[in-house]
Amino acid sequence: MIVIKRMYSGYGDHMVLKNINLDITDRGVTCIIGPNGAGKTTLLRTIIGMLGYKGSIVIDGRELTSYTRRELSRKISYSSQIDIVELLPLTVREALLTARYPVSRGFWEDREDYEAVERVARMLNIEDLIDRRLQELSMGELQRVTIALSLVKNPKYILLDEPDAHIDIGYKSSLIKLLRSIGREKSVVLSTHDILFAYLVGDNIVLIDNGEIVYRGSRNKLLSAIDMIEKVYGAKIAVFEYGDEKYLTPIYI
Amino acid sequence: MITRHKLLFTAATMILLLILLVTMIILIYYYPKPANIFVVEYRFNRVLEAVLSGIVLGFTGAYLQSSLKNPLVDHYILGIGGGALFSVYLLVLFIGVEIYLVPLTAITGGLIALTLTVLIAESIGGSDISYVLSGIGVNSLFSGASILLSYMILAKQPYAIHILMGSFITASPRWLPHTIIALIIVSTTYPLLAKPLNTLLLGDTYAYQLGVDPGRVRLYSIITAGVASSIIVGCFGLIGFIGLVSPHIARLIARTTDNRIVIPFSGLLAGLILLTTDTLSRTILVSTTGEIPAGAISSVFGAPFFLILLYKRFKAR
Repeated sequence: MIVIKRMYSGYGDHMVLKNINLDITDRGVTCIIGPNGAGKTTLLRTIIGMLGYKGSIVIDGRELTSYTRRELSRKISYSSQIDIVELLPLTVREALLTARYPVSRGFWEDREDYEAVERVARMLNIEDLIDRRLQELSMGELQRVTIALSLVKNPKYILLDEPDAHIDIGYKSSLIKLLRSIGREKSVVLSTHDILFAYLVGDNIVLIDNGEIVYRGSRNKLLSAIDMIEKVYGAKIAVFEYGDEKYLTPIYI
Repeated sequence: MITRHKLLFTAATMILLLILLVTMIILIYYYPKPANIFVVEYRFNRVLEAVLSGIVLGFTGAYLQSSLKNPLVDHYILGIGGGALFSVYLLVLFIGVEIYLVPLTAITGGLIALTLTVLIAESIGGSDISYVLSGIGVNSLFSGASILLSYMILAKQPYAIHILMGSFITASPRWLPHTIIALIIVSTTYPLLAKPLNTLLLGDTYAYQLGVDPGRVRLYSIITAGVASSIIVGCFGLIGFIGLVSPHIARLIARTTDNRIVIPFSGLLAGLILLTTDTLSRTILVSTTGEIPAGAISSVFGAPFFLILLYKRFKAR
């Protein structure tokens, strides 16, 4: 359980996040939505210890600052876009083995590390990509590999920065199923620009505006907070019925 | 799978080492036939120092390329060599060839030049190309100044002009401890840095969430590389492109970017390459023009390689 109380954080003296109060449970998917520059990425980066903060962030009973870098990295993974250097090519397998760094014991990876890589590759259906180089992958394939990278060290909390960026609608629906199944065993916290995606994948939705949490609630309650979302984004949101379910979508007119 | 990987790595390392040793023994004792024991003695130092220097430069090239995530750099391109050589020539000009002061002076000059390159590169955008441009500028400055100095110090260091390009003509037992210290520096840091350097390849944020401090790993790597390559340059001069080419050949042969494999492979390959170029330098054309600096030969082969890399880099975008 991650308990964030009266937390302020940002870059240097510039506080991006103001008075954040948030609980992240041991299981389930938490979606962070909000306009560009609202502080979604800042929140994720503060939780992995990259940014200094005021207030308190307690992870499994201990304050964030009391963890060593290695301890923290075993508990939490964070993935944003990975860097790819054209002339220094890594294969998917090499990248995955590298991502075992905090849990792999010796100088070389052992059987356990290789097995973890195989397991995650099977789970994310990227077995056929495993010997390909990262720069040969399509955006959608790379996005799957990125998620695999954050799973392979077997962390308790998985933070994903816009996992639905650059992927087509077909893959997006399988991504939703995948994230929901991961959320049954682990705690997934993700940021996204897609409100429908957040609504479909999230157990809890957090809306950030201008560095403050303006809405926090379960997925079902989101439909009754349309006014708030419309105000924050300055856009129109429509609620519609499809089958027996209600959904929401932005109206771009 | 795992054991096969490790077995292949060990086997390849052993084979490379064996080739290196056999070539060294042949070149010292048998080919060309030595006239007397003094020739054997001289060759022993020369061959050993060329190989060890090559190994050090191969290590440092791999360190610099992976820590800066820049496949286009080595100690020469980044200006470390120019700075180290210039400061050693200053030392020779004012004090003389002081055997214990040479490495210290070289390190100071090399690290100052490296700092300058990094500061300029970061101020013009910090991309891989800005490092190359800034390094070439810093290197030209110090190399140019070294060329000027080389004529002024000829009385104290008659081989100053050879050393400009990098040459083992001055090989002697007195440089051996320096070379060995440089080798110790790169080989003791290898087990500590190789694995964290791999995480940097995925990006700094990625390395951070894997429990690595990317800034610290980068700093340690470039200081290690800067210090070790400066010592070699201080003894034998600018030997360009070996540190640039060897990591690429190592990656091609081993078919991996894993630094645990690339770094030692690059070292052994560079040892072999530098031994070859030095042998060429002391055998071909010797009867007509006198000895050509080994660094000149390595540049003839290395520079086109660099241009190909540059071309590939721009074609990739």
